Amino acid sequence: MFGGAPLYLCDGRLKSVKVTTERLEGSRVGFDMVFEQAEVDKAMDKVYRRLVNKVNVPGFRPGKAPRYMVERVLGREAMMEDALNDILPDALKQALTENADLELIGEPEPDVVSLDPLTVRLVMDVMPTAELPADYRNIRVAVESVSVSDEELNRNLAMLQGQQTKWRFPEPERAAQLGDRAHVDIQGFTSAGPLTDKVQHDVLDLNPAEEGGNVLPALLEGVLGMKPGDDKDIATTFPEDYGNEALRGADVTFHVKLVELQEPEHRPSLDEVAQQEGDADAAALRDRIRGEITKQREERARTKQLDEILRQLNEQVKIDIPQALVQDGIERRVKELEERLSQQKIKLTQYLGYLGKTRSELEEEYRPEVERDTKTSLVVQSFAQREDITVSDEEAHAEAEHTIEMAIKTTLEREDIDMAADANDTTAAIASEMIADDGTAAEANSDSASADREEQANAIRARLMPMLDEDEFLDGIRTRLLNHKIEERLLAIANGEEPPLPANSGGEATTDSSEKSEAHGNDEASNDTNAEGTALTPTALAEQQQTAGASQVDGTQEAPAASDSPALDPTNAPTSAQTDRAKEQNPL
Amino acid sequence: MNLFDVIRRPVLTEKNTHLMTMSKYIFEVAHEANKQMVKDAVEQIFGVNVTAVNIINVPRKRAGNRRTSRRAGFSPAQKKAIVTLIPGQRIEAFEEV
Repeated sequence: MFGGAPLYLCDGRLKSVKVTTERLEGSRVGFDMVFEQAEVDKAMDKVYRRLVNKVNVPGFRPGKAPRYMVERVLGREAMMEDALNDILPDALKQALTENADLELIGEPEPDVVSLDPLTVRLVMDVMPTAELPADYRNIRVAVESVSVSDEELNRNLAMLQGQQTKWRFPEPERAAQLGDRAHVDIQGFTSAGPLTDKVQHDVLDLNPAEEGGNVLPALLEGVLGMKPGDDKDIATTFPEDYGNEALRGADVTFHVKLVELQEPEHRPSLDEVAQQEGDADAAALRDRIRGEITKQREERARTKQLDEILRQLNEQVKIDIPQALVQDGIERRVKELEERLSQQKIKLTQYLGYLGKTRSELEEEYRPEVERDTKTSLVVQSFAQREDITVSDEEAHAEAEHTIEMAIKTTLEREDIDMAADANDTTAAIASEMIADDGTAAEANSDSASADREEQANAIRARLMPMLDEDEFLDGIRTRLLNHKIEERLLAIANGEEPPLPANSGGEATTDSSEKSEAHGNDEASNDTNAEGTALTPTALAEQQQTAGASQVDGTQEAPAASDSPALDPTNAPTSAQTDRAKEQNPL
Repeated sequence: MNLFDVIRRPVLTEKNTHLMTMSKYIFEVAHEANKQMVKDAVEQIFGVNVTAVNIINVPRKRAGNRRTSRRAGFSPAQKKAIVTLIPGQRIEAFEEV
């Protein structure tokens, strides 16, 4: 009944967008986009169809107004803007296929230069690449040596003994003496006022520090001799190595009331402790505890070393970090803070009021830290590329399976403990856990129980296995593995081990091309040997890239080399071959 | 009478948009205008060929609530002209934004 298609739909030929990309200073990129009229028309039509039902045009029922009427009512420019927002992502995508190494940050904010033809200027931040110094492999950071003194070990053992001591109330009531456990109500006062709002209930083990005690010496001294029900004011000074820095060296008066006193019924010997812990004897226990402490300290030393390496690398690198990136990081921090606070039922505004700061002040406080972190992560990324550290699909998959198995194991163990706890006997729980660890579960539980376990494990496995196909989960695993590998490599370099630079992707590309060139005749072979024979200095790397790029233009090679070489070292300008190619595609 | 005074404005409604596909255009015209004047005006202003002009007088009508509104009165009377063009001809000005 309506004759013919509306006129504005008639010009149906689609042409893409012409984009000129221009690299600017300070990790920014400018895009000049000229949209074909047909493209704009199509987008406008989409906008029209979206809006027509909502616009009230006099003389027309809703949804029945033709496009020119809607444009008249809403304004052509406003609709253009909407249309532009619709097609901009596609245009950007097109621009990025021509410049695959660009990673844009932030929201595009286009400036319309002219409407006919629709011409847009867009300036965006791109992910900067950190340019590592050529000698980054010369960085050396010594790891701190780790040791555990006998004194520290003894203190730890004494603590274990204390934990496993059985307590009883002395009969008849007597004054506190060394080795007792005192239940006290305690409140500390400094010149600045009370340390805590309320009187706190605390348990003090009356042991001197050398025997694993953690009570201030003067306080310990003061409590000795008190009887249950006594109160006392004990004045002392916080030691210079006190945990809370603000209190170091401060004079303090503790108002102490002794509520209850317990004496050890049985303080287990080291051998007994060892047995409880599942070790053969006291010596084995000592070795194990020493090993655990050493491991812990080594871990800490490692982290410290890593921090130092990253700090040094950071200092050697200069990058302009786009503000958009920093702003993102800051916002993430603030959000994290907000979440932490919400767990304590505090609103961010309240917290800020308490600190007497405004939100923007808080953000400014985060800025240097976030800038540093952002830079570090860029440096690490660049490092991973230079060192060609990647995680293969197989590795990620294997690690994912491992993670799931671990999860199953811990879940089962927890259930075992829960089950035992149901029987209201915690020692049995610990015992059964230990037995399970020893693999002698069959002894404690019947055979059917172990079959149950197997079934349970399978049930959990069935539930968790689909995760292996989830990209999010795999990505998480991948990131973890990658970080781990990067850490290992950094540490190896800093320790002067000079790990071999793996056959980098440039080399891979040349190998590829040599395979191909065998078919073509051996013209590439000389290049190939040359590249592999050269010491792997960054300049050599660059050369190899050139070779890879050159072989590409010959048409002997497809995409892999193209994607590999810029990934290897994006800080280098694209090789001439690549630039040529880009020009061909993009005559503007 | 000036050509541009004969034709007051186009009348754009859903119905009239539909009529446009049959080369019929609706204008509000001056009360004094007759079919011949409308034909001349449309042909000269828009450069098209008019085959027929039909005219409708729309009388004034009572408007507004007479009991409550102080401004109650009449809607203005108007004269509308349905202008038929040679099939296929268009007046593009109608569709411009």
